[in-house]
Amino acid sequence: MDEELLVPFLVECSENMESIEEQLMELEANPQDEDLVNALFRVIHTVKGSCGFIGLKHLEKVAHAGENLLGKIRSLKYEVNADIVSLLLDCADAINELLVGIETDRVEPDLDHSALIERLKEAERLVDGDASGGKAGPADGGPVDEDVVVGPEQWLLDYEPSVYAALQEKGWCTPAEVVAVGFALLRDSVGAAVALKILGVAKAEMSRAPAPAPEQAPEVTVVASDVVAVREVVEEKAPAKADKQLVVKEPKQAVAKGSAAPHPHPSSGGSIRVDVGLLDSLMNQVGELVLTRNRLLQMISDGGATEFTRVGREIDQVTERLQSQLLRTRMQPIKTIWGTVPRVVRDMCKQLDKKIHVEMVGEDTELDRTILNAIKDPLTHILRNSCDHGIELPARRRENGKPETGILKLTAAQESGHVVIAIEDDGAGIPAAVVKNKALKMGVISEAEAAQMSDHVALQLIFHAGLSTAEKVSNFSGRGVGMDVVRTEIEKVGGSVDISSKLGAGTTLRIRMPLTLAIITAMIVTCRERRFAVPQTSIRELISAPGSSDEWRMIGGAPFFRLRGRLLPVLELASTLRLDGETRLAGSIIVIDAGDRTIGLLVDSILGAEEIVAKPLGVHFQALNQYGGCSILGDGAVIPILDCNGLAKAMQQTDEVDLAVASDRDKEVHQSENMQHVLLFVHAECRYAIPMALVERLEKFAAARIELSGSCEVLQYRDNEVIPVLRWGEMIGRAADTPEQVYGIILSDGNHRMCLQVNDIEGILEVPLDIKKPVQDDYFLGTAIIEGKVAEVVDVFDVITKAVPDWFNTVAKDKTSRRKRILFVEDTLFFRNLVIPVLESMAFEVWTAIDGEQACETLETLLPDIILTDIEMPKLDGYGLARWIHQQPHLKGIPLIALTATPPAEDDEVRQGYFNDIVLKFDRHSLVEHLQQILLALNSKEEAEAETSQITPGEAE
Amino acid sequence: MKEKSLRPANPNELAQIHGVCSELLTCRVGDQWLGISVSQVQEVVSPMPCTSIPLADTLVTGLINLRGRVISQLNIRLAVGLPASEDPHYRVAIVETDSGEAFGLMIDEVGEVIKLVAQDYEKTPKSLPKVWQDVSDGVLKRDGHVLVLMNVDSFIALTVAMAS
Repeated sequence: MDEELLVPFLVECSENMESIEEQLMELEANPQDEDLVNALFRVIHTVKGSCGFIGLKHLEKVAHAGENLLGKIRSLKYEVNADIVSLLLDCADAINELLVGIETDRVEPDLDHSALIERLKEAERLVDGDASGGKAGPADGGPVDEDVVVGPEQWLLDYEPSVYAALQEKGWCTPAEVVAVGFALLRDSVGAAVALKILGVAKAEMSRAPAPAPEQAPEVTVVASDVVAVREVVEEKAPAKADKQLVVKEPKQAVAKGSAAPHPHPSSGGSIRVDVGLLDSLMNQVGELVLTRNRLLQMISDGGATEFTRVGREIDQVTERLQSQLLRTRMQPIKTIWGTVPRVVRDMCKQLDKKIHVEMVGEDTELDRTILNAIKDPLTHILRNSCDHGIELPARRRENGKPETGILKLTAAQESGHVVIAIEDDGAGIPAAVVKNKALKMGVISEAEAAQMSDHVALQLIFHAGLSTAEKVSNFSGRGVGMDVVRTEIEKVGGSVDISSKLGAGTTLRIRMPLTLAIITAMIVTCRERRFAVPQTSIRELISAPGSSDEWRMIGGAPFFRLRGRLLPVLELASTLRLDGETRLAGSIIVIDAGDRTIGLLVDSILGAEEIVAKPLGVHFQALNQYGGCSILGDGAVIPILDCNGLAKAMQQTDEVDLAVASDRDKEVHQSENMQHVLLFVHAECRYAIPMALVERLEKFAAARIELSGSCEVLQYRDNEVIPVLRWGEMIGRAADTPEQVYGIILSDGNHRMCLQVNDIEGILEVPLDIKKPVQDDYFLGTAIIEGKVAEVVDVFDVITKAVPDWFNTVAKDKTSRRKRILFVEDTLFFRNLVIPVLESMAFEVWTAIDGEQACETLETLLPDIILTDIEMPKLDGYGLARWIHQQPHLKGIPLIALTATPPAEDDEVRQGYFNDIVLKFDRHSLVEHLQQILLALNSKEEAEAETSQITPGEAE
Repeated sequence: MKEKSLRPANPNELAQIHGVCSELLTCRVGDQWLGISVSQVQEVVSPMPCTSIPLADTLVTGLINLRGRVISQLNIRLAVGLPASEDPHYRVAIVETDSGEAFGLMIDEVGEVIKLVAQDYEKTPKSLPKVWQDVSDGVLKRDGHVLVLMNVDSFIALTVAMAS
């Protein structure tokens, strides 16, 4: 066999065979389409012809049988049925199988296709019999061979006119002449690909009408076997290729112009074939260039002449462009892997007796080829699931009032540096309850967890190993493995997958993939003087966790960090990687998504984000799943890239710990809502707690400094300010001896100050302030248990209003316009009590609602100037409320402010999308400030409106 | 791919294994001199900054950056059961296996490049430590000592087995 010819042959064949499945299925849908039959015939014919030329006997036999059948169909205008299409598909499969074998081993694989050939022959006879037995067709019924040489040029009719013209010009018209000319000359005239085909066909023709031709030693330029088409250039087209319209028309003209010009390559277009290995190595080089550039820029920024800075910038830009363009050469449209989908679905439909129509949107969406390869199998698996379990049998669909034919829709689209692929079916959907039950039975989740779990979360359990809801195990899916593998495969290349389903209406799987793998953004962290890279895609957030933090917990011997009321299991990188024997719960925590868990990875410090070129690790590290690869940093050092999933596996979570987490969870969530800084003071052996919200400072002074001014007691405070003093003991009617040194709690809202004198201070604590026994007494909110002992919680505002009645009114004095109305939505009594006085102090007319639903009701009838809402609420939360408000036209333009217990974090952007402003719950000052700003804006707007309304009547007159 | 036998019976076969040029780079590990086919040695470099990878076997000392290529550096001494050397003046021979992956082999000393002379060739003697027997294609008699013909692929395979 001729090695040199083999490579172009394989490339050619695989291009031809690529479209064959699609065409066969099209034929099944339109059996009368003669053009399609012709196209199919040509493809197989070409393959067969080339085989004969190269000497691939076995392949030739298979192709020949297929060709004969197609020839028969073509000549008898026979309308194919599904069985024949299946058979032809089998034939195409066999050819592909042989081609793959040839490509890998360079010899024809020893496969037995005699049964297939027999079946093809049988079908041929069947077609023949059918045709002669009644159907329109030649009466003789004998083998009609389309390839009988009618005239000298007949055999060339399948080719483009340009090819034909070129050959005719040369006077190479008969197969014998063409063979005699030889490959080299032919190639110069019509291009290698076409030359090869023509030569093949010519040889095949000659074997029919034997006329010995001298054997020419053909010669061909070597094209590497593994090729991709370079993007953005027109691909060399084989006539049978699906996207024919792209073929450049120029060659025809060039040929027509005459023979004076050196023979142009008819279809060389603007494209070349490039070895993928070469592209990969080019990619690596550019990766290195990027790193070197980073170093250079670092050096320049450390102090370089202006000249250098300019050159540096230019290099920077060129590198950037080079990198992005090279990345694009590795991109392939997703249709390269979607191409097989219709076939897979068709085969399944036949086996399962279902009717499914495949729709594809966004086939041209491009992805890095590595990623494409990685999602190929998961995608097939998902498709099979959709066909097998998703879409119902036609009868069932009819019963449910759906069209018999189910729709399977594939969509792909780019979305902010990612590609989102959705696989949607309009089938039965997945009952979340069944998934939950199964998970419960398998012990994946606990009963308590199941009870709390939302349907969407429950559905995600499908990705858990060993969970498959199919009642029947079928050929295609439902073996209980699969979906977990799907997720693992997708996550391996930095993607994520999510499932949503509506019972009776269908299921949608959404896969999110990065566009490329070669360059990733990673967080560089240090741990025990070593540096590691953590891919940004798996990072949720970063938190500082100093050893002194109160949020550390040890449960079942394992460390946890309390984050917004939830216990985050913490994995110490140092001990996981056995960097040293020491356990040190201090540093920074990277919150990572690892499989279905969220864990915190404790490192010593975080250096920052960097773009890195990911490289694979050597064979010695195959067993270490803690690493995903390595990279070279700007300073030239090699750095390992951590694999978060692998790390998480190292984390052995015992049932005990799980239990602790589960039981703790409710409590913790509850608590976080009420976490409060309170000042504890003692008076006459009773403990009192006062929220720190209004407390400006704590003073210790001699009791003698309290002076009498008129009937009131006052204290000289700071810069000659005189503030009223209230004695706590007197207020609550439990006066006690006053010690020499007393404490004054200075309460302030920015405009006023007063001093609450108490005898003894216990301390300031952050405690869950769960008010147990709300009381109606003056000055008190109720009773709470703080550090195991009972304390009365002081209602500061009540105290102030009783003591200084005009405290809150003074602000409103200068307001000439009407009082602004504010709707305050808050579910916790405690916060309502805390915030309402603040709002009242700002002269607002305050309306309250205890949750989003109630707020909606209020808003249906009343129109406030400002809406202030909590985020975490029962029934309808802040987001839900915001969404509802945004939908109401009459509420447009009303400022919506969120009050939150969580400090500004990375998800702020999300929150900002919903609200005009976000204010921390415990930050009274900033609340007042924000509200004042909004008031200012509202007032100026009103003034402007008032002005226009004054002008308008004048104009009307 | 052609099967390679570990212990060739005759010098012709040997020459086949070591490529057409049949030249050997000699180097010392502990007291043992080794010969590595020059066709498999890309270069010999001085010690480079090496990033050790936690949890990896000690014989894999870490990763080095050879002009942008990340290479695993292996300590031959540890692989053959010798104690690690304290000498900071080791050398690293960059070798490439059939799979195309490059490795840095830490050696104590680099010797000359010699021609493979068939008369000097002998099968690996049983007296040689087992570990050398496993990774050698035979030995060459040199004045007074034997030079182990190291089969790089076998050696890498051995270290991979030890590391995992």
